[in-house]
Amino acid sequence: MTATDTNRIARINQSPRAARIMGGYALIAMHGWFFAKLGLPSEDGAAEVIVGLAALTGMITSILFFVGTFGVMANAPDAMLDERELADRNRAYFSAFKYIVGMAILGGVIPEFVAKVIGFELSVGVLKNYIFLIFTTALVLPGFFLAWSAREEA
Amino acid sequence: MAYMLFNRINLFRQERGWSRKELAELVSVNPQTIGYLERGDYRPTVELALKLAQAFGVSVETLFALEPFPSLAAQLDRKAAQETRDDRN
Repeated sequence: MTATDTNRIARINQSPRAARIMGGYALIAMHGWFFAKLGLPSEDGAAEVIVGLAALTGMITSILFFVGTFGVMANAPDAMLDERELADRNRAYFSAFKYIVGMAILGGVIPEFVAKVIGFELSVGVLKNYIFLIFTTALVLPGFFLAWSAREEA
Repeated sequence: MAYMLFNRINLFRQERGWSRKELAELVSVNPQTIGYLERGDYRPTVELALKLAQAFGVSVETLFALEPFPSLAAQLDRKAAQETRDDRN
């Protein structure tokens, strides 16, 4: 962002390293929550609490990341970014797009195919969780890729 | 095919005593972008290259090149050799 625009946007300032840690945690916690919940028998008290905590902290971290430097940069108006930042953002969005398309295929097309072939269908609850996972991933991923491509300035 | 783009932004900036922030303000980019340009991590558009050349008051070819720039020592060496030749003639 150009120097004058930087000060106008309310955000939590993050170094690339802090953003990588935060984004990484959010993604791992949310993916971990989904897969753990998938294999977890219902009404399993302690494990349910741990998995729930992972989801809660993952969600909070996702929101904090979204209002941090790289989350804001990923969603800032074009006029507030210079040409290098725009190029970086385009790359980050393309990478995030590929991942989200992969998730959509994995969660939308393959279960449908499996249901047709072996008659096993995922429950509505699992699909709801999956949509929530896609949502939080889409929230964090562009900024996360931006943070990975950013360099720590000396 | 990806090509290398060499530049003398750092040299010209140091010579003028400008900080990255000052140069960035002159060409309307983020100071970090100047760092990316100096390290050769980012290839500027024609517009930015022209703005940079204008800021330094030099031609684009003086600032950017597809081949590595000769070192300062090599340039001085060549200049000294040229002066010696001129003196003899």
